[in-house]
Order: sequence, then structure tokens, then C-alpha cells
Amino acid sequence: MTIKIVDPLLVRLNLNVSSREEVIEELAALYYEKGIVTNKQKYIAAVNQRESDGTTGIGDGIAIPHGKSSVVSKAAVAVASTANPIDWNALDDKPVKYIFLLAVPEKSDNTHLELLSELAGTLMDDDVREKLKKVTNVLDLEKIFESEVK
Amino acid sequence: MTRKLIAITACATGVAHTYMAEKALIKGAKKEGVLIKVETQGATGIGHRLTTRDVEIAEAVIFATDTKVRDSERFKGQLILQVNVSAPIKDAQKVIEDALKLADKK
Repeated sequence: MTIKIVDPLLVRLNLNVSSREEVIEELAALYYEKGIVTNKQKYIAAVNQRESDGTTGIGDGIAIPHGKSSVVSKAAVAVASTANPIDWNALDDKPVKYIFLLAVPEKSDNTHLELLSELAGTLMDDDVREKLKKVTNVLDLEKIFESEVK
Repeated sequence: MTRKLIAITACATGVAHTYMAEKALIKGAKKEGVLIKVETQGATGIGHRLTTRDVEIAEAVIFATDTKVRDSERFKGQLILQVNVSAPIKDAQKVIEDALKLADKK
């Protein structure tokens, strides 16, 4: 069986944004629309709080911001790529083009959280980073993060 | 002889950085030709728990943690390199080299 970690409905490619705040706002709005987040502002506050504890820009143009909050109804990941690189105060000081925004509920079954952790781990893989740079549509993206389970 | 290290990774949310640091350390150790076992202390519990035997054979312990290490009494008397969870994500090979240097000083 194949599990798709990335939901095509939670992807925005080539976003025309110029700041971290704008990307988070866009993806948080998507979460709100889909009912994954019940209060957008509270969720964004949680994401910003986490960001102020230390950057989530992990290098190579990738950022993995996350917010853990009681307004999150289920664990999820929303993905964006930006038309132009944006500043993220990343570990390697390079601007960011790929954003994986995680929604983490206060209470969740481990299965969903493990999927998010697996996705995070995958982002350290050089092959995955190369593939990410070649993504042109949602299907490409979905494929990178498919997970085979027995 | 192949050098041996062990590590613990943990972050505040316990979902993302813990596991990125784990993967980064494994990748970095491979490049350095070092054997490593990494225990993750995340939101879903402890992964790849370090055993007494692991602790015995390791030359040094890396704590790549932003939170308190669970069951840290296991490492009493061991050489410990404490870094932020983001340190290996930024440059895992440097963290590995620093841990080896710590072991060499002994």
C-alpha cells in the first residue's frame, strides 16, 4: 500500500509572495478552508512562536515551520514553493523557496505524527532535495513523498 | 578500528527537528566513516533506544537537544558533547568531528 503524505489540496506552487509572513498566511488560510485549523490567527501565533525559538530554515532553500496548537484538528503538512526566493534567516543564510508547514494538534495518534516526522527526516536526503528542485507540478511533489507501507 | 559514537536528538515540538537531526547525524557519520546510533526523543516516544551496551562501546555521546534529555542518568560518567538540535542539521560532520576530538582529549 502506498501512503501519500502530501495532500494535493494542501499545495501551492509558485506562490507570488515576498516574505515569510505572507507564505505562512497563505498556507494557514488553506488549512482554515479545509477545516484542519479552526482558528487561523491562533495557529499563526503558534507558528511564529516556534519560529522565534529558532529558525526553521534548514538550508538548501527549504524551511519547515510548524505550529502545535489546540486549534489544529488533525496532523497535516501544507507545501508551498515560491516564485522568488524569500528571506528566512536560514541555518545556511540562504533564502528559501520550498516551505513545508506542519500543523500539529495538542493530542494526536502517533501514526499521523510519525508520517510528519518521516517527511521531515526525508528532507535531509540529498536525492530528495535534488528532486524537489525539479518539481513542476503537484504530482511530482506527491511522488517524492510517497511512503511504502507493508 | 572504526570509531563509535552515540547520540540523542530532541526538540521542543518533537516532530520535525528531532528527526532531521537524526538523519543528518547518520549521514554525517557515514561520510566520516564513523559508526553511530541515534536515539530520537520525540512526540511519539523514544526511537532506537540506546542500550547499556551502546553506551559502553561509544567513545562519546552527542546530545543534539533543545529540551531536557530523558533518562540522562544512563550517560553518567560518559563524555558528552552538548549542541543545539539545529547544529547537525546545519553541519553534521562538524558535530561528529567535535565529538571525536572530545574523545581524543581524554
